Amino acid sequence: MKKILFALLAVAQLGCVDVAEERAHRDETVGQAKVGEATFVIVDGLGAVRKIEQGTLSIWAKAPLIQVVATRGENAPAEWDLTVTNALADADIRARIPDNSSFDAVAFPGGLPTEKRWRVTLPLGTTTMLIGPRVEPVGPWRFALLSDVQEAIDHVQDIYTRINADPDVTFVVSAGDLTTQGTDEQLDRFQHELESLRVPFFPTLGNHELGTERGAPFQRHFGRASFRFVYGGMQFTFLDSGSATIDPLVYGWLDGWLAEGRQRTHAVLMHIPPIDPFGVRNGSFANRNEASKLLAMLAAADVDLTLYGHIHSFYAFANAGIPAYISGGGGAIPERFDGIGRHYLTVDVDPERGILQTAIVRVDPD
Amino acid sequence: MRRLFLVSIASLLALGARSASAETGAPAAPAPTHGATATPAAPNDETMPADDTRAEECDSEQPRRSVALSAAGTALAIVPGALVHGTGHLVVGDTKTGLRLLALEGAGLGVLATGFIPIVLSGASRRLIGPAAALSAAGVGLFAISFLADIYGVVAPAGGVGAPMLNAPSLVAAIGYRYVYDPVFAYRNFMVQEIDYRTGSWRIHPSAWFAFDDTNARLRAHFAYRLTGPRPLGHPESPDGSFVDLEAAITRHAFTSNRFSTTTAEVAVAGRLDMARIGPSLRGSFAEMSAGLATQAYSYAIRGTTADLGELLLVRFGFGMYIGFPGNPRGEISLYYDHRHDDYAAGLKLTGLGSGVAGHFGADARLYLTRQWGVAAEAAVGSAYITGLSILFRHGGPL
Repeated sequence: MKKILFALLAVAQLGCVDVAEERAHRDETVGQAKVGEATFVIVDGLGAVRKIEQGTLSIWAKAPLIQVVATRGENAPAEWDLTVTNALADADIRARIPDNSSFDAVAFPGGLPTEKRWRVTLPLGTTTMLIGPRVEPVGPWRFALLSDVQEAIDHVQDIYTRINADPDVTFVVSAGDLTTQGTDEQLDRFQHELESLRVPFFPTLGNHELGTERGAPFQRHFGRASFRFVYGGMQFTFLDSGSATIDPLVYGWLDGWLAEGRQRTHAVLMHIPPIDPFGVRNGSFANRNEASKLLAMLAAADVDLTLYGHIHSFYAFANAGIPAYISGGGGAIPERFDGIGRHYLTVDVDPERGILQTAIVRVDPD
Repeated sequence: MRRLFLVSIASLLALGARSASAETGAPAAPAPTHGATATPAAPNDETMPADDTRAEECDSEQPRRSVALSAAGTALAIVPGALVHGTGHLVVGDTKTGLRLLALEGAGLGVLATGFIPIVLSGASRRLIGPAAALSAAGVGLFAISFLADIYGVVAPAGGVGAPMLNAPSLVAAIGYRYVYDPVFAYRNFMVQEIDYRTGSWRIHPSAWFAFDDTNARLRAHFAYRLTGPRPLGHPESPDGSFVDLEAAITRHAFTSNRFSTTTAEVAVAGRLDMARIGPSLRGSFAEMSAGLATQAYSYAIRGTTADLGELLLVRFGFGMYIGFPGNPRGEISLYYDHRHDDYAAGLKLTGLGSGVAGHFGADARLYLTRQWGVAAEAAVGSAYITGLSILFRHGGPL
């Protein structure tokens, strides 16, 4: 009966053109939590609140540096056990606090390479905690792109082992399709597998994360689908294209993010590429004209790099003159006859000179 | 592409030809006049004259049914008819047509499997995806047509509710309004103009959409050559409304406010089959299918950019019925699926994980109220909602 109801709901939704609106509105609520007289807001939604109880706060970080605005009332506890998962190894905590008050943080060892734990003492009023590295790279650094794992989760450790073996990789970004259906169980499993990865993993969602509650479990686990952060002189803008479109609300955010990124090296990531290099396949936006609208926006803002997933192979091309890479090599049903196989991408960046080089790392050549 | 089209049309034609020759020994005749006179009209008569001395009694081919039997046939044509096409006809006793529709469904599933299985097994390989996607869409088309035909055949009165025009008008001009709701574009209101001129087997069909509330315009020049089917007056009447056209078009779509434009060149083969060739209960209905390929260039009005080039698979299928008989207001209405992703309706969006691949669905209707004047209506849903009306003026239409 449940399956029939879902099928009827799916039919009823045929023809809805605002398909990503609900997720965009959910993005606006990510990173906010309240218990008693204590509230916590992660600035720009760059983290998901995993757990909050009196005196306990657990966060999944969605960026190398996050800011948590804590407001403590008189009846809220001063001491909080703060756990931040998915953090850089050199992440630290400091705070901006009201005048005539004090902030204290005692570090405890985390259980994972990317887990940080502190016992913080919050003053009354509003405190802004900054969690992340105190210094960012001034020379070349590297990040990796890994997408489209899906049913290959049983073998994903092969890929993590290769990434861990590269000491230059600072973090991994992902263009989505971590799971086949986006269920809580599958996302839990994905996070469990991530525990062996020594660097943080910052994903947007893919269309396969929309197979359950239209993407809500992803946002509960891994936070926003559309967001941006800056690290090492480079801006990363993640867009939710899981429905083969960008919601108008996200276009509104994108205007501001593109303006911010104009003076920086700027990479834009999303799951479904605006244009499929093989157009008859339609592994692209539902509307070719919307694809061109988006690419025109990115080109006008001098975006330096576009990164995509969705197509389970590797393609290097240009869209609107912007270098573009499709890397869907996480192991999901591979595109045959392409000679690619499982792989991930590495990108070397210099804060002054921009993108230095992009390379494909094959895990098991087809 | 040619293979796809031939497979699809051949499936329909093979069934149709077998049916026509087996039952009448000739192509199916047009529908009965339903009381219209058979008096030819004067050329300048503004009323819709009856033509049709060839109108035959086909009620004898399709026995009258009781309301209860028709209702049962209709219900069963939906469930379990959605899975076993032709069920409606089998229930009302039209076994031959029912089995033909079942065969058409089987052909559709076979074509679908031929296309879709390689897509799954190859991970949508770039080396297979073109013909595989085209076969998949065509298979779905045959499947949908046989389902809709089964319902039509048990619901429609004997002889249908209309007859095809056996000559095409030499000129049709249209002007109208379209409302387009696409959440990612600012435009909403359009003026639409088109001219459809035919001479002999040739057809020239320029059209234009201009936004009232945005700097957006779509200009399209569409050309066709009719291999078989209704042509303008002066040519022999076609035995029915079936046709096969070779088509080509070039489209320029300017999104000036969004700083880009697209240019599309395309070729296609398009056909219509009057479903009376499948079975007498389907008289007055038709199926359409077309397939083709387009190349596109996306140009950006931004310094430092280069144009993007791409391809577009063109597949369209539909099912419709003629409305009105000679001497009365006449026209047709159809439901269709169009795999285009580059027009205003573009591809279908879904909230789940299947968004983006499918094209759009729509309905078209046109009705000539007099010999020269008519109205057309359209509705479509894909990435956008489109709806609107046009006023039609024609010259050289069938009498």
